[in-house]
Amino acid sequence: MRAYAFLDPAATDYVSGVRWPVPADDGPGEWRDSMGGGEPLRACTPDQLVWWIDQALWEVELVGDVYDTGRSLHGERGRLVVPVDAWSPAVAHELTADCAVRLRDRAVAALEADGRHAEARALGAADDLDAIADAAAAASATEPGAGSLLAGYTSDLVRFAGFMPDPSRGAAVAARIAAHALAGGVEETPGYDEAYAAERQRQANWLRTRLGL
Amino acid sequence: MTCKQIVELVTEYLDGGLSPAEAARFEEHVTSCPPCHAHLEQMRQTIDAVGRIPEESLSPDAEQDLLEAFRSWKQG
Repeated sequence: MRAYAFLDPAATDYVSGVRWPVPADDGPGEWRDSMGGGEPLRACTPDQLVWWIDQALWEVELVGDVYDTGRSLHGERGRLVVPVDAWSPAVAHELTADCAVRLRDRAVAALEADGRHAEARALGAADDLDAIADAAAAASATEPGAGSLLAGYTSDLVRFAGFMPDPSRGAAVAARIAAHALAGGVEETPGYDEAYAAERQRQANWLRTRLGL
Repeated sequence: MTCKQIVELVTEYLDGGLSPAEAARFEEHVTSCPPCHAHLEQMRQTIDAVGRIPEESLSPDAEQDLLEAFRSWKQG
């Protein structure tokens, strides 16, 4: 079956440490077997990509039994077929910005609900990542409340994404923070898991559409 | 899942002892947390290295030292 795999530039799976053989020319790479009983050969469907964002995206071919964990596909044998050129640092940055704007808008609504109209307007007018981070940090520092909490998450999202070593890792962090914040920020509360999954699905849809998969 | 929980669960994860849901949350955290990813890699490399040391490569003196160390640790 055809699937996808986010890998680092050396074609290594960031989580499992498994390295896929890179094609030497325009054809597919050599087959690689999973390490029976050890690390699986991991790939994913387009809907699962958002969980595994990394610097290089490959179309892969899996053969033999394939187990769908819900978040990834574990295959017995697979090979890299072709890089997905639609994925790039610029697209990773777009995803970070999409997550930041979505969280910014939620923070603006919460600030309005808290009666903090001037701060809501200032944050709503911020349209690049640095400006969003600055306005969100200012709004989060003044008083407690839902608006401050969401503004704080918005600022954190931009700052932490910027700390990451490359745009793809930044996008992975941004997507996770956005989902956590939009779900309420406390894992044990009722409804958190559903809201978290819903935001992750929205991000997956964004990624799938943006990459044309 | 927090960074502290990642540290607590890393050997269980590498042993395949986490439930699928726990493993998914572990992996999601590691994907977006470079320090925890580094910790996971260090543990994986350590286990790999230790797993390649055959028992017969120990000298009798070294084996005796290790046995005494373990006995002391149990008594302490």
